[in-house]
Amino acid sequence: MWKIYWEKKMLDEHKTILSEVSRDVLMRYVFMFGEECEKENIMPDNLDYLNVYVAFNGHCEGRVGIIAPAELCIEMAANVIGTDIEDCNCTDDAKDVFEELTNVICGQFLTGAYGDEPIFNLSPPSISEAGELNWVEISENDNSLAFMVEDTTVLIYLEIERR
Amino acid sequence: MSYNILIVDDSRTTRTVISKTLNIAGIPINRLHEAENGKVALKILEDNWVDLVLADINMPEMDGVEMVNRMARDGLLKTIPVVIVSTEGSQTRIEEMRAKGVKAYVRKPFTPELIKSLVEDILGEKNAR
Repeated sequence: MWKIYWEKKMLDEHKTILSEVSRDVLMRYVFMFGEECEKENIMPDNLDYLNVYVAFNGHCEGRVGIIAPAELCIEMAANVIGTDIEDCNCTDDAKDVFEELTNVICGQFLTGAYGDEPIFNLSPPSISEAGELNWVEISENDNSLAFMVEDTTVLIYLEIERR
Repeated sequence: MSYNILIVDDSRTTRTVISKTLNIAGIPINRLHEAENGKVALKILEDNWVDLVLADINMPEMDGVEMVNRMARDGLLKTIPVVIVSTEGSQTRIEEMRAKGVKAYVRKPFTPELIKSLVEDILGEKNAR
């Protein structure tokens, strides 16, 4: 059972780190500019979404996940592979790049939050298709951040098991 | 002289990006092998001569740590230079892997320039021996 980490001070600290790491990795891995935005002002884009998370354990347990429009994931894949959208193996490449993006953000977050001494084990990414309801549910949680990426909204969430 | 290189990563697109980087860098490649996990990589290493391994850590079935452990226990495989290309940030784990013979570590997301420079250094060093 995953639980939201409620301790206010740590939650704010984690959110700051997750925000900085996500912006940096979006830029350096998928070559997209992501800007954090207020969740009060966002609405689902009425699109098909992909939801991926990477679970971690070790020093503490939890998961980092992202929910983004499937079309955006195709653009990400084209950027990473360095090809036109028409030329990329859309579904497979989009899922693969989206999984790797989440994996990299998770790894960078853990180092940012806990330093480089603790050892964490990261699970292989778990990906699923998602709809507007999933998007709304995650957007309403306190443990998610919203980013504007290429004029669409991407939600990045963090869950840490309470001990 | 051209080289046989093995790329081990469960992300197909990451393998593609590394492969493209090596080609664009002009590194003379005889054969480029790819594996999606450590288990498949070890099988390739059993059957083929490989000059350099570029490997991720977090992979299903067999991760990079176990793959390096098994290579370190094998008289022939332990001579093959390994570069870790991973999201892993734990210095503790990196030092453990260095002690098992890992030559270098690149953190994701990486730049093509860094991969190029490392591979050139390691293969140059190997050539000079």
